[in-house]
Amino acid sequence: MSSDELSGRIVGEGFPHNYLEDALELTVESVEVRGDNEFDEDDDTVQVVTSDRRISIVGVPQWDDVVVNGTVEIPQKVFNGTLPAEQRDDPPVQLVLATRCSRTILRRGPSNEEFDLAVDGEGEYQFSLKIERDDVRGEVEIQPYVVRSEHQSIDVDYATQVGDRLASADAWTLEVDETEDDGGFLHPRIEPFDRHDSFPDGEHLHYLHFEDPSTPKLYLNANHGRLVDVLQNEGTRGADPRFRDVLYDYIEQSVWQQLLLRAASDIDVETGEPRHPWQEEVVELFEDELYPDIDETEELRRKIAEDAASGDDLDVLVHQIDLAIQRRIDHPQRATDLFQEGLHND
Amino acid sequence: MTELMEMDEGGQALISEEFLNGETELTEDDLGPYLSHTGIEVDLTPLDEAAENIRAEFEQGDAKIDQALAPTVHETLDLSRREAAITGIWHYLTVIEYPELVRHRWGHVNNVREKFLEGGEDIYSNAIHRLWWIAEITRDGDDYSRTEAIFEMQELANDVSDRWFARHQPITHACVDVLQKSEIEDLEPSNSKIVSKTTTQLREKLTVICAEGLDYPKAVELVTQIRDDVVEDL
Repeated sequence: MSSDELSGRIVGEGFPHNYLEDALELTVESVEVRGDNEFDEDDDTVQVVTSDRRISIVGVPQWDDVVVNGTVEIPQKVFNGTLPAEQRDDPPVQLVLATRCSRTILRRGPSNEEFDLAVDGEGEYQFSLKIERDDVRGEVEIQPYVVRSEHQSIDVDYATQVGDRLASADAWTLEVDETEDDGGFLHPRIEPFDRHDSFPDGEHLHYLHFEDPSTPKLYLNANHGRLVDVLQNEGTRGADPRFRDVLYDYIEQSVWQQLLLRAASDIDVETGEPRHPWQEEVVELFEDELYPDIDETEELRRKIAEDAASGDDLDVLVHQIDLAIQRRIDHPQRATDLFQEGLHND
Repeated sequence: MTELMEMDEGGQALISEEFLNGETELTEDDLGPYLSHTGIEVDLTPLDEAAENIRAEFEQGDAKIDQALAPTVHETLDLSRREAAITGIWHYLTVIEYPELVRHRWGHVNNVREKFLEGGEDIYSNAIHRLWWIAEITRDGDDYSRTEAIFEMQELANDVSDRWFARHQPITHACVDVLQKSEIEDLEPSNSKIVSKTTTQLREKLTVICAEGLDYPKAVELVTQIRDDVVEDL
């Protein structure tokens, strides 16, 4: 490991200053759902799954607003690692709780001032984040950041601008509605691969991690900063969104292949029962394309399980999976869009 | 009052080239199996009247239609963000309630289908959804002066609304205030170049700066600084 990695200094390419991406800790202490009736996590309808950083109020029938109460822990290393020495005792920083709901075009950033807090050093900072039902649909992401609150020119090796990210933590997700999820595995997490011994080397762009076989997770390599930036592009016009679509197609091809093969290996040959719920979903997604002659999903599951178990038919299964994914993704259309974008820009 | 229906994806198969060209229309009866109730009722009268005036007063394809219509779209369709996130409502509005308006504004473009059928998290494409959401992210309560300012220049409306940073209201307001036509028309480079390069560089800056960490004054300072650098470089 390099000295940069030991101190957790720089995350990904293109980050010009020290940024401690995982240094904060957001803990949810309680969740109150308010409306005609009141609910909290003692009810079955409100679920707080700390290991998955997930709160679900999908089961709550009627509500007006939800209040998430919790703390954000800021360790001393945030101040030591991201601020010039002269500023560490009276840090010019803000704690921001970025609150984002993509379906309602919403980004908000209540800060410590709104929670009547002054961030003056290491410690746990309490917050009560209120989210109104009228403002959200689907999922809401809650992510804490420590950012600079003033410009500085004392030491340009550190962040200089107001709003510069200094530290953060992984986001929590508040589920307020059932989502139309066509494969949660394709909502990737971004990590520098060279920080993880169990990940492939830094040349890889993506990695499907089966550490917990019940919830495979897709990671993108933050070491490829420019590509990850393109993949996070939210636009619809121009070269970057076109390139993003092609890049995602390439990743999807690989990911669906792994998921389908893994599902085929795990499904019970006799009963067609999958080992994990995601395997049922993945096979269902491809049921029209995989073996078009087979109408019943259960029969399809048995068929791919048989093929996977049989050395002779494994190549047939791999071929069928490849064809099915290509039918679903429609590579030529995306590639043509990108090509035409290039022509327009010539 | 009119109940806004939700048109599901199955109904999209009925959107033919003849419909897009205005050679045929679709009614609620035609799309019946693909419509579901939302319980959201609105009085469409002001928008009906505005749409009629638009067709009488503006040439087909005139981009100024957006500026004239957006505040009325937003005021008439008095929806919460949660309600506005139901994509099928916008398909119902474009296909059944206002197809002539959509064709009057967008009938000349190749991608007219997306003006009827896109939506969701893409606030750039669907003809009515686009006006509503751009009004939503630019208004200040009942004051739509920023909505009118952003539509004064299509480049500004497109370049801001198509970016993820536009979901954070202080940044959207700052972009409009610093980049609107009256602020930059006396500067030497072309307005569209200033807007395009400033918003592109702002997006790049916001990969390092946390957008949600900026309030309105800080956002104005940042956008102004980028705009001034862009003008100097052009």
